[in-house]
Amino acid sequence: MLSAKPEVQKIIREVLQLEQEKLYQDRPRLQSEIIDIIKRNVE
Amino acid sequence: MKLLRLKLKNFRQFYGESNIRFASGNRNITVIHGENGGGKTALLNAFKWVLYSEVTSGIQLKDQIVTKRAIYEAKSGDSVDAFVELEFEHDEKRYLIKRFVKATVGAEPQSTRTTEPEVTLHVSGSDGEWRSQDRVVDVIGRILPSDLHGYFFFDGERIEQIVKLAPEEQDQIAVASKKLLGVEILDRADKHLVIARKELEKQLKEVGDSHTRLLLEEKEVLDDEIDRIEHDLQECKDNIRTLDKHNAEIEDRLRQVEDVKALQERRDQLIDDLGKRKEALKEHLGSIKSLVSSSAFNIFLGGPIKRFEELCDKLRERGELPAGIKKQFVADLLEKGKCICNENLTAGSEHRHAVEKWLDKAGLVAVEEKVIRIGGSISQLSHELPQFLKQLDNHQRLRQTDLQEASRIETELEDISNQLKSSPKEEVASLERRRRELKETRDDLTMRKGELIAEIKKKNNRQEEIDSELSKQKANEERQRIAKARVDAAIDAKNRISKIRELMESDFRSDLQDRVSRLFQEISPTPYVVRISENYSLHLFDSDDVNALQTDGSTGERQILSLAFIGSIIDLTREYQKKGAALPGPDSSHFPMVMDSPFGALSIYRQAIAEHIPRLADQVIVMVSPSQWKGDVEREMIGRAGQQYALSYYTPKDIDEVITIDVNGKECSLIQKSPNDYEYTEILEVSHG
Repeated sequence: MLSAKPEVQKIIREVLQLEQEKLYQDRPRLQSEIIDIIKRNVE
Repeated sequence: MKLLRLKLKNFRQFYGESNIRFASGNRNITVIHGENGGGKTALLNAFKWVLYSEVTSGIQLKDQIVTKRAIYEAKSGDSVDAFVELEFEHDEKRYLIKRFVKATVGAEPQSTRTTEPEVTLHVSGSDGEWRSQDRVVDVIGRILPSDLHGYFFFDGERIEQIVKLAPEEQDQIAVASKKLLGVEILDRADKHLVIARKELEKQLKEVGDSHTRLLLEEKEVLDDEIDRIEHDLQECKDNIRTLDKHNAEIEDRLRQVEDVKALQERRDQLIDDLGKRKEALKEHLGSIKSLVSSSAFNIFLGGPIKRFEELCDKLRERGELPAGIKKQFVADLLEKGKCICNENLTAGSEHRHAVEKWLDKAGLVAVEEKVIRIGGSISQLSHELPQFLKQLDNHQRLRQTDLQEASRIETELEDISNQLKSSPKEEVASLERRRRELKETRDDLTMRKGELIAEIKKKNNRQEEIDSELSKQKANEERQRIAKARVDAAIDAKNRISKIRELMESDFRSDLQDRVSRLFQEISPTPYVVRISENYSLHLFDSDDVNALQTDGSTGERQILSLAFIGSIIDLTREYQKKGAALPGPDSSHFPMVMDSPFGALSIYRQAIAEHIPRLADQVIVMVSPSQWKGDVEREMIGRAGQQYALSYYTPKDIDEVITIDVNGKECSLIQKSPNDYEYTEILEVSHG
């Protein structure tokens, strides 16, 4: 984790946070939010 | 999950309304006294039913929920409510879950119709307001996973079966333990990142150059193929499971045929032994691998060591070893221009020339130092080789013994199968023929499973190669560069999450093994140690030696092992959560344990288990008969008992005498004659605090 690039560290943190908050949310919506996280962090 | 209160109405044999408040804190045990048939198991089922809509086996759920007395007393057309309501605290919130049915009484009690059970869940936060909560299954599952509930609400008389689980049930433990750890979140993130990566690759394909597009197209094809193979693999595993189930049914039927019962039981024993031998073979192979990887280099050192010794011998022959004189000393003499014999060392003189010759020899002091150092290491290495060979030999011998024994067992199993197949009883012969067919199909499927796993691995490797090629590709355009960087980030994040999960699981399993072993040894007088395999099955070994033999242990020992396992899961999950693991998991820092007759089949370990149970969980609800309670168990537990209740059972049958129990000087009837024609149980509070 420590050796990951800062943007990957942020992606991991935000994705896990999202999975925790929206554990019961339907999959397609969650996936598009994950893609948004990646896009936001890698520009 | 801290249990506060249970309310029952017309549930099973509990007529009318009954309430139980649970003890917690320092005196965390709630004792519920009841005779056999008095309602202990029904009470255990009340917990299982309200939380998970399940009951212990042997009960037809829907039509037996409502107490018969309430139905018999109602008039035709009347409706009778039955429910279980449980109030508990969790994560600074209060929860009230209620599961209920309604029975409409028919002209005859037998024609009574009961509705499907319904459930409601209310949650109250810091403002004290109760709010209705949807997704009851999910919410309860996050507090105490359904797959694990059997370890927190259990029938103590069958507890030893926890360590004798079928493979699919072992998988369940693995899955449920992951939930407690929060690994489920990682699993989901892993899956979602794979899908996100595929989507981002599509976007890269749109903006990428021709080579990138080609590589991505190949990757897409591989993705589809992997999906298809994974689907086949799952199907293969399901089929193996179904075959195993059928096989177990056939063996069960053979066990019931008197003439061949003994043969089938011998086969059971042999299969068990064969499993242990195969497990031991795997372990020996593991030990050999680790020994070879750490010490096998010694074999190749023979040549270099010999060469080193030859070099040293030559130096000694030439008198260059030992060196005897230091270079600096000779240099100082030449500098001063005077020898130790007082002779002048003038330039070009014969004496100076003689002393100068010592300079070359004196240079060998450094060589001598190295010879001493290397010689020491070599002498140590020379000792390691015979030791390595001896250990290797030992493992090989044990492996050989296991191989021979496994082969002998297989021959005997074949022999048993032939005997059964040629049995004069057609039923037996046909069952055995069917069993053989199943075995052949299973063998084919197992082989297919191996092939599929290898295929997936191969395709995954190719995907990794493509990923590496893609990351080396130069992006010509900014759009392509960003799209590529996003794909790389998705792959990197996914791989790191997989690694975190792997490490967490293996740490958890190894910590769990240490803890179960320690707890088991604290309770049991045997020197056995516990090992937990990758699929979370528990095994007892006669020592912690690498060559230790697996043992079954007695029923009592298996009960201790099960309790140690449950206690350790609780303890460890609590500890992991306290550590504030960066990973989000269910907040389950407080665990209850509800046990029906945990001392039923115990004799010598009763006292030791009673002593340990209150420490295993934060809150203990124990249901006991007077014979299980009196004596050791009462002595060990009474000081921690915060609440005591009695299940007072009314029977329509004539009884010789009323059965009572004395709790803190208060006498309670546990079985008495019913004043009417109905059977029912009342719950009485007999001691508080």
